[in-house]
Amino acid sequence: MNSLNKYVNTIKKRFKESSFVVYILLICIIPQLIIIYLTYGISESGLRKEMESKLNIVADNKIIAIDNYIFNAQNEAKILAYNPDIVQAILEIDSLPPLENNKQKISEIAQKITPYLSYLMALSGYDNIYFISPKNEILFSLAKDQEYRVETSQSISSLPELASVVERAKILMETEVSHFSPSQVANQQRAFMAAPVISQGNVIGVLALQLNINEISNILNASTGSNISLENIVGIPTQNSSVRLMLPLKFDKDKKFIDQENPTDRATYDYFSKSTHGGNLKSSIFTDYRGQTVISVARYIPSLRWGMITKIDTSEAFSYIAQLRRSILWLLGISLPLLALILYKVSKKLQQSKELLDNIINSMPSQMVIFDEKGQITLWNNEAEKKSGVPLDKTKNKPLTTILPYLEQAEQKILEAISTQEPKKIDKITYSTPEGNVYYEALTYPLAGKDFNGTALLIQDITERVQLMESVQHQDRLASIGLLVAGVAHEINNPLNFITSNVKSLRNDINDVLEILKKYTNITPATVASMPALHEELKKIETYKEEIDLHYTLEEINKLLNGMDEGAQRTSNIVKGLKTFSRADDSEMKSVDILEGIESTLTLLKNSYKNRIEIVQDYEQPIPPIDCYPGKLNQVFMNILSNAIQAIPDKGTIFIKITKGPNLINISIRDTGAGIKEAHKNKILMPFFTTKDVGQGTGLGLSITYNIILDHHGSLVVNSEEGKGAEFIITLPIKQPSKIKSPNEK
Amino acid sequence: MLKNYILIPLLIILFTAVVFFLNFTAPGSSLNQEPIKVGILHSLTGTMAISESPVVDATLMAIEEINQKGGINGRLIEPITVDGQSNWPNFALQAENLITENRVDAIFGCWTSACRKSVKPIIEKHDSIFIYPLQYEGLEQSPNILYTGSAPNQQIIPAIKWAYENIGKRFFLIGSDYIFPRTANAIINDQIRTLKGEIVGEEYIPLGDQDVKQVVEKIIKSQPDMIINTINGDTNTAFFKELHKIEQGNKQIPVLSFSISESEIPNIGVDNLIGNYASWNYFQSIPSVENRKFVNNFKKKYGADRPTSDPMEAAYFGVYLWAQAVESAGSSSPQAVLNALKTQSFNAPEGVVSVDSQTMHTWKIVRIGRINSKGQFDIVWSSETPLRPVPYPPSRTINEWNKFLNDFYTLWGKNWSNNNLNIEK
Repeated sequence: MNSLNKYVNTIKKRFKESSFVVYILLICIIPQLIIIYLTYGISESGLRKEMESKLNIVADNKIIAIDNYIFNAQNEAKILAYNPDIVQAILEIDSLPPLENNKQKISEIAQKITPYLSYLMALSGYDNIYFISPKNEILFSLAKDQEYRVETSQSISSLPELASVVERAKILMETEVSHFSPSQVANQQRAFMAAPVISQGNVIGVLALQLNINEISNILNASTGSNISLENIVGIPTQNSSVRLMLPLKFDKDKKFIDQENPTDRATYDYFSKSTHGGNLKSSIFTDYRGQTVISVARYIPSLRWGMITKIDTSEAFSYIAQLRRSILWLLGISLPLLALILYKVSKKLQQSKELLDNIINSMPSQMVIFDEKGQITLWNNEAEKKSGVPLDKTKNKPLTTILPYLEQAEQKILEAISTQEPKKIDKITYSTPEGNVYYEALTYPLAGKDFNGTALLIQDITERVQLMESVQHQDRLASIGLLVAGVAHEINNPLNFITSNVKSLRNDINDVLEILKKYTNITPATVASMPALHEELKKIETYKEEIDLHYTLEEINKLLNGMDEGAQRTSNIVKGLKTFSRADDSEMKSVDILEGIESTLTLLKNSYKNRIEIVQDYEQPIPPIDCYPGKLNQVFMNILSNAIQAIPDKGTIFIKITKGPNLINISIRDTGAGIKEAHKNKILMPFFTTKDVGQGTGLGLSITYNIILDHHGSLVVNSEEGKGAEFIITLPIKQPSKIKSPNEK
Repeated sequence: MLKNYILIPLLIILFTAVVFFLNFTAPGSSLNQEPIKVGILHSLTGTMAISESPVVDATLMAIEEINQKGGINGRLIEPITVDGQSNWPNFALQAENLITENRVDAIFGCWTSACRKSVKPIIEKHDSIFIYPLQYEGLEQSPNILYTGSAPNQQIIPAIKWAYENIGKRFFLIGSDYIFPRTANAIINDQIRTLKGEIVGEEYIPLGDQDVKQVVEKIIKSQPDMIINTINGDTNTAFFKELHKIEQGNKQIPVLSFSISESEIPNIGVDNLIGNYASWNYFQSIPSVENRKFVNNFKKKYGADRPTSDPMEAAYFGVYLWAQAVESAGSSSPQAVLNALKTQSFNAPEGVVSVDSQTMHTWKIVRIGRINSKGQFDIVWSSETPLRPVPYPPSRTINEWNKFLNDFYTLWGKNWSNNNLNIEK
């Protein structure tokens, strides 16, 4: 199970790696394929449209030509029916007596018009001309086949097509045309054109022309350009789901019907039969009777009631497209692998550089988070994802503190930095965990790319640094105290000397006074009884009093006691100052009078400046109590003041000035010392930076100072000009924004 | 980077869409959705409204059917229906508007010849297409007009011949006083003269006139074998009512009408009409599959009591012939469509109809029907096959016919009907 998971993961990873390449390949190749496909499609549909319109033109021309032929035949029949010679001939025949042997007479009359009719038939290609009486008897006919012989014996009943069209012509009083139907002779298709012959308002007969289908065949087969497979098929529907072909097929001369039952004919029948029932059809592509795929259009010929389809093999019609298709396939076959190869190489390079960048970002021990303009996380490195524990795609629309809870303290500042797109450094973000406090440093800077405006957030775990700094701070304090001890000892020595030297004199004086007291004890009641003895004793006392100068001695005792008192007082002050300074009890923030701290610091430092430096204090009273860790703040004063004292080599002045703002106070400590070199200005807050000789200072003082001020949410500004002294301005809030746990609390 | 992963596929899709769009909006392509505008110009008010409204319905139905099947080459037809108000100058004005303002590619419309003749010069001036659905007197031909109604040889001449042979030889001609009845009767005069028949009377009533008493009395007095009726509009109602009233109990003189179809029968009253004849190319009673479909669709759309008639059917297949031509031409521009129209055929409710390339009229079957008690026609005669349209009957030359028309036009003060004022009724 485990190995399977591993396998799946490997595949996923591989795919993720190569998906970039695949993606680029697709991006480049898909549009190309689409363009080729569309070009091909446009060409194909264009060609089909062109072929359709060509077929339409051919079909239209054919049926108009056929209709013209029929129309002209109708007109010729009409003209013949109006011909006075012909009208005359019919009138003459009508006037003959109804005798059996009229044939000779009729023949004679007919002969008169035969040359004219023969000439007309030769020109027009009619096979026969019939003259029919109103009673539907054929008076005589003129046939083309054998030298235009006149026949008189024919009966109309042998020609049913003729009989029906003659009847229609008489009823409609118009020239009418019959269907084409096979004649008994030579299986020829023929049709009749019948025109009523009218004389003085009377229908005196009907003239009929016999049309030969060859004329129509000629029209249909007349040149259609170089298209070998172009074919016009004409036919009429029969009773039993087939189409009777009116003219032989181009490729199968013996075929008589297109039959629905015949599988090879079916597609042709389906299309063709619709045209034979009227209606012009949309072009269609189907398989014709030869099994060839054809494109076809259909027409209806109203004068003959024929359907017609005009078709051409698609292999011929679309040969250009087939060639185009071959060319495209060749082109794709060659160009696609080449293109793919090039793209593969290019994208591989791109991927490599992308991987390098990813690697750089992901290998960073810090967390990097990229926000877009709307404050959404768009990218982060592995470290950030690991710390957050939330997958990147789940970060959308979630508050920052849900994703990165340890930034809670700095959330406001980060959001502000993202929205304003200004670089910002948030120095120390505290996050307490059950295992103890963790510290972060956050750095934001805008990412102003061409198409991406966002903000990068760099988060660094500075817990170790903070811890180190704290221990250093503590040591520094101990070191300061150690340094102080020497001065303090000296300070205490003086008043102590007061006391010890006074004690000796005091003891002598007191012994003297006690001696007087002892002498008084020699006066007993017995002595008192003897007056001279008393006198004696009193005289001895008086002598001793003069001997020790009692008056002076008593005065001296008082003086000595006063001196001792002062010495004890001064010692007590120094001890008190030391205690104030060290404040070992300040693990919690307290509201404290900072003047007390400044005073005690000055007291402790007195030895190093007295008689040398004047301290000028200018306070904007009353100064309110400040929320702080008093011991730490004293360390700040100690560091800055001792630096100031050290900066003044001989005599000088230190100005301590306190001003108030609405919520904060500014403590300015300015000295008239050497000042800070320009080159050192940027470095003085750095840890271990010192201008003193080796062993003289740790180089941590100002760095610690700065950290303490930051702990108090304050700020430190240093102004200095070399040679003219330096000014340190500490700004502290009067009330801390929220009670924050002491950094010392573990 | 992330942005690009979304942007690039989007661009590809967009690009593809644009290419497809450009490809298929090319002229004649199937995705070009711009509709083809056509005008429908009939009287929706005035004396002709009763006749013309059903024609509008049939025209709209054909358009709707074509649109339901996806239009022509993917383009829908957008009909713009305009009221001619039974007023011929207004028809001309509306035709001009349809072409120049609405930019229609074809106009379907008119009933009376007077209307057609007013519109004709406008259509020809703009080289547009006009499709006219009525049987008419002929004597006209225009490269811009497709006549889907019958020419005289497809209605009048066969009907007179049939009447002559089956009813009798003495005819009384009555008609409205405008160009169609005048011309129809001229043709009938020529034909009856040829047939050696007799015209016992010829009377004209102004369009819209209801005063028919005198005329009917005249007819009764002259005792014809048959009345040939070319009255148009609501005068027919008055005429048949009056005739029926007078004939009550007496022998009925059969009337052969050329302008009374299934649509007019209910208004005139079946009782006033039973046994009379009409000649048309189409009757609702034709038993073909195509006709049953047409009748059913029409009833479904407009109501079971609505009849179908010849002018409606002619209007209906006129839309189809035009649509086929647009499809074949691959364009709706009138010039291209006119050319393609010449070879169109359509399996219409009346049978196969084909445009005659010579005359721009249609090949049609002629039928004569006898009105039965249901207000329908029993078909008594049919030409079986479609007849070639002959707009100028051969009894006179084209010049003679044109002079004939022009004389009336001049006589009526440059109008195609007598007493134009009556039309406003």
